[in-house]
Amino acid sequence: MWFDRAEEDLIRDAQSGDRTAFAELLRPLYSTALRLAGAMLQDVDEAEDAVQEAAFAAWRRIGNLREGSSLRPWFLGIVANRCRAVKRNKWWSVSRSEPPEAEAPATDLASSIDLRRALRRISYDERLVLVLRYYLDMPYEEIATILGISTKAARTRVERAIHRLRPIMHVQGATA
Amino acid sequence: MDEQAVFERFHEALELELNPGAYERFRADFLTPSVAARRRPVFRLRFTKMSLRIAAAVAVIALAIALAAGYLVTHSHPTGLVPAAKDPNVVAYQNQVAKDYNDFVVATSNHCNTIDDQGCAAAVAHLRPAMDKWISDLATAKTPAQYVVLAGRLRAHLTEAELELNAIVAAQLRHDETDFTLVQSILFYERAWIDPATFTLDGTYLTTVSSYHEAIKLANRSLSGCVNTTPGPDALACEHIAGAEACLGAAAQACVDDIQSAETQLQNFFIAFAQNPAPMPLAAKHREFEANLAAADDALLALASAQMTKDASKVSAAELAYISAINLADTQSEVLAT
Repeated sequence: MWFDRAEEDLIRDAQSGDRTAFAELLRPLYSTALRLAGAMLQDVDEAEDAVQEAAFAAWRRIGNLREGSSLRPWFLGIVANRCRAVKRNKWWSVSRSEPPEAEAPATDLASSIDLRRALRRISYDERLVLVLRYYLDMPYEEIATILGISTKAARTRVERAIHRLRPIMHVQGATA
Repeated sequence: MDEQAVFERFHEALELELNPGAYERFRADFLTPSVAARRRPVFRLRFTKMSLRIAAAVAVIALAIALAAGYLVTHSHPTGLVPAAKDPNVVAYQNQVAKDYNDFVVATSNHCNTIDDQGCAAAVAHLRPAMDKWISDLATAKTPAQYVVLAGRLRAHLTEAELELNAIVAAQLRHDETDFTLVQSILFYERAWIDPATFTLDGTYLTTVSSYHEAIKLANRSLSGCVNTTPGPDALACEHIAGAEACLGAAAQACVDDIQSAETQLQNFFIAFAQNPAPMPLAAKHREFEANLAAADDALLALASAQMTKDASKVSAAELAYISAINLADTQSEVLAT
């Protein structure tokens, strides 16, 4: 789906040490990776740092990419792992930086703040599957590849996570 | 609310205005010839883009993070991530690892970021008990079989980190800025090694390899690249060190970068095998293989130690031990992969 001959050639070149080929491989993925990191970290500077670190990590691991595999889920998995490490080291600042609660008069803004706050209160893994599904609009198959689980398990995780947000989302059977 | 409305709510709530030009900045950093020639990405990254945050970030990772943060860190750990169906012994082990890691983070502090920092020695002394406890727990815990090797590696790296912490305090006491900076780099890299290993052991690190067979094939290709053929990006440092790289004097920093890259190469294998244990018929052979990987990792730790003591004979001995272990591991991975 995200794989074509050109990518295959670029991957082969990158695996042989061609840095330009690797940089070209990441070009179409970079904005998605930034959006993923931005949604997980809620900080554009940290998101950019995390994606850049993930990109360098991916370069060093490019030999691990199986022949015929697509780069996108593999790279986004590395980004997700990097964001997890950032969150681990910075929970204290995340916890302190919750937005002010009483200053959200407009309904849309209030509901956005409520959702962001609710997302911070669920686990990293729950947040990740929701971001992949509902923010990056990924099909369950791709979420499954990124997480290294079955498609069915990916669907179950999304459903469980959205269920945890039910009070804020007013969801009734939304994930079917 | 239907699913379409959920999509819309998420887009509305999470959309951020991202910094323009992020890809171009990455590309420029990544393709900078001087960087491509020698320096390792992690270090390079820290010292280019993040400018003012960098000094703090290096120190944060070297000796790291605020005391006051501890309470929240301890109480924020996602111990509930482990699937309910898991072996309770594994869950107990993972919880212990997570607790020790959090205690470690709590005990770290934002010190030793400059040679003039008067609080460095005290900060190291404050951190030491948490590290000792963690090392002791790793040695005495009932470690699940698939984690034994990685846990052993983590113990070795934590022990080495303690030596490195002593070295940075000693360098500060004798006002040796060159040594101070070098040890700071080594500590920075050590922390970068400790985190992924810990997250693998506590079960929260995402898998990037889906089977043992795939993991061993990748390890074989990577090791062969180092020993026999043209190395790929992940094996360049291995090739440098195997070629008796100069590691003292002016070459010290480049060698530190290569040690870190070579350690990362090995860590990728350890993590993949912790997540994908060898099938029973290959278990004995695999243990021998991982013992050689561990010997290579020990040699890299010894090389870093030899750098800190500026001992040329120990540098040579460590490099010889490294290449010997890598050669053996390469041969064994060939057998296991076929």
